[in-house]
Amino acid sequence: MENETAPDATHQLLLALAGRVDDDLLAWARELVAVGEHAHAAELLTASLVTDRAVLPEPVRAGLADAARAAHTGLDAAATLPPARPEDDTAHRFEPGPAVDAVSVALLALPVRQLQGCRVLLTRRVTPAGSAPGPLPHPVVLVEVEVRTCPTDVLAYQLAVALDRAGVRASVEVLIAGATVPAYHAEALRNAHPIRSFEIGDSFLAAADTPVAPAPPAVENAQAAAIADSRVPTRAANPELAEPRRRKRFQQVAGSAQPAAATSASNEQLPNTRRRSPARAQTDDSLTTHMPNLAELIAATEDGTGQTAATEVPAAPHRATRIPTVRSSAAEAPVAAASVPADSLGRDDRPLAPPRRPAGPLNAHPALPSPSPRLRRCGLVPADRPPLPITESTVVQPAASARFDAIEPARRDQEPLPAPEHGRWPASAHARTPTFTPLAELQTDPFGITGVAQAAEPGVAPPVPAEDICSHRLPTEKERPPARPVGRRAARHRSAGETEEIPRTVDHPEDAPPASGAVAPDEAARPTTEAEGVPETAAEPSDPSLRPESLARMLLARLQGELLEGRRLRVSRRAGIADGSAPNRSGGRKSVVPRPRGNPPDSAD
Amino acid sequence: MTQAEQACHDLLVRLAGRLPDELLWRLRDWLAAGGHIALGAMLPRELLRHRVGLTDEERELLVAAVAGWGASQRLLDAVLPAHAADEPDVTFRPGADGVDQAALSVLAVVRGHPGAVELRQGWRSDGRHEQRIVLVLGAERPWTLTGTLQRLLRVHGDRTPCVEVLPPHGEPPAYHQAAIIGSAQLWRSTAALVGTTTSWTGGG
Repeated sequence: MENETAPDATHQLLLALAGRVDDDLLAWARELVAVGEHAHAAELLTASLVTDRAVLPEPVRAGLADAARAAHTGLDAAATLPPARPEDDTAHRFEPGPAVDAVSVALLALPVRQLQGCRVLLTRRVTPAGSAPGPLPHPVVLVEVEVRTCPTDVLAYQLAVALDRAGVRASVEVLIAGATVPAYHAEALRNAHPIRSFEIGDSFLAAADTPVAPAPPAVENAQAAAIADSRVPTRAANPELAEPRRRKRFQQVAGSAQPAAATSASNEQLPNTRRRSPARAQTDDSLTTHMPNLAELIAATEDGTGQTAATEVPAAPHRATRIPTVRSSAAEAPVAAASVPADSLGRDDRPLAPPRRPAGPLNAHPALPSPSPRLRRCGLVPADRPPLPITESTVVQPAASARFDAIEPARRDQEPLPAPEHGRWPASAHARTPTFTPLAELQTDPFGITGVAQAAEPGVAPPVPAEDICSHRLPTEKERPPARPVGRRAARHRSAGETEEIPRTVDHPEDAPPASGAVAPDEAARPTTEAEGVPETAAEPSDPSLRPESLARMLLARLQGELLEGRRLRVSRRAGIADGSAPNRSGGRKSVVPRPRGNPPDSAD
Repeated sequence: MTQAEQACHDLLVRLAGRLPDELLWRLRDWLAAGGHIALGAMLPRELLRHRVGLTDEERELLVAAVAGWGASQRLLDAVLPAHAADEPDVTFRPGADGVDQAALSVLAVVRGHPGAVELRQGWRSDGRHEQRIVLVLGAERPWTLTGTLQRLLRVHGDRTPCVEVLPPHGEPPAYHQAAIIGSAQLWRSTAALVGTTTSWTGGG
């Protein structure tokens, strides 16, 4: 993106536009910014605000015009937007809402790692936003993060997606702790109640006791500074705006729980313990401190299950109360939990996730196998690997996969990476196809330096006439018993009604029927004698009449016969090899060599 | 100006199922709100961004709509041509027999709109989720009715409202033919029947 604006400026612009456009558009713009498509986000925002003829404060208007100009949107926001008008307050109103609802439950189910160093609050907006608002009240999640802790837009996008996947419709506003916030967010903070708080939460509460606030973040450009300067005084500058009310509400909600300030003081006494304690202890403590009603709810839920995570680490001794952790997937799949470190996943302490929103009747296929069987079939998952931690309702072991594991374990052991299914990934499958073609063999030795040795490799067919290539299969390996194919082919020829003496042509006497007295010993032994001179790789074609030398002789005899203009020669005997009859004399399916004619083809007419 | 709006509305109707719903409803909303400059800047870009090809007839509608609204001629020329409109792989079904609050609200608006003849509702499924489809046959200034119904549906929780206001006569596109077949009738105006009766009576 060539003309993208600075991240801080974009973030400040999106914060300033909260409440001025509908929540879906704002979330879409944050998603676009998070993935680096600043220009597209600027296009959508500018087009929506220009269409709505939104009246903006001068800093926001200028910031939007700069963003639209930088993105080459073709929209002149500075010329099309109505004149700016200063604002001192926001028209939006918020209310805290119930302490426990679907949004708070979904927030508590988020991974700890995702919200490390964040303080999460929840409020509800009761006024519409934008020209096409959604239903009201609208939940607004406020996340306070440390400066430079994480990309704010990315965090907002990730949290919005996580809530959406949980079936919760809410806006996510990520604020930088101690920074100047717009009036919209200041009003939201005044009416928000905390949901989760980790390291920054304790320090945040401790900082609220003192009038000294953290230094505001450095503004990188004039655009962001202009937007930031137009905001109302910060909560840190006027701590009486929000913090005392919030702290009072915290203490009221917490009841007999230990105050947060005391908790913070305890943390300062044991900094190392605090740092090294697992995230689960942090979650439990924060829940117990701030949301005891939620803790009771979760504990009651767990009582129903009657299970607690076995790998729970003792918390720091200064914690007053702890709540048991809701059963996690580790309790259901101990093998997987032992193989995968809980810390690496960062979700071993997740409470029970709320049920997802139904996606429609066509999506409800719980009995369908998951994509894992295909991976197993491709060899991504070794057969001896412990099963994935999947709940019982989702475990489907197709029989086809088991059969595959039993049939071809050795092949998958030899392949470090599985070969994809042909047809599924055509390009990659073609790239991984072994080069067994004769062309590849020729390329490796184009001048026949290694000559015979390469030509004699298994799987490489000897030179065969073009007619045989089209009508016969490649010769098999010597180890394979060729008696049955020989017998079947002999029977096929016999079914043509030509002769009853075809069994004499077998190459392997052990599979041949007992020789009759009518067969001459020398004729019966001749095919075996001829086979001795054939290279091993090309040896033992099932039908002696299909041998290259025989066909070459037949072709030569045919040409000779044509030259002699219809005189019947010994060609038939040579072509018949054993019984004196042409192998394809019956004119069956394998009529490769035509029946010798009395007249040459060119003079038949 | 009305001709340009009508051409833009016809084009946006033809783009149903070919542009994402979250984008298409906004384009229609901008048209209803008079955001011609926004449409002139955004519509060609979005067609290019999503690689939507237009037939010759659709290209004429595009030029007639946004050429006068400041659209870049270079962008208009860059829109991909197509021999036939792409048909999305979706299915429609009428849905349950009951009518929810959103459908009742839509009905209240449609039956008072001049020229409206019929209101239908269906559900479109693409295998992942279902989307309500509201079909209105016959309405004056259809783009304004579209914008009104879209905003109404959003208030009721539909994040990407799909409102198709079609002319009362003529052959609709394949997408809308399938939608009409797979939808249920919520209301039909008696004005047409009355007019028929009146003309028949007068003729007798």
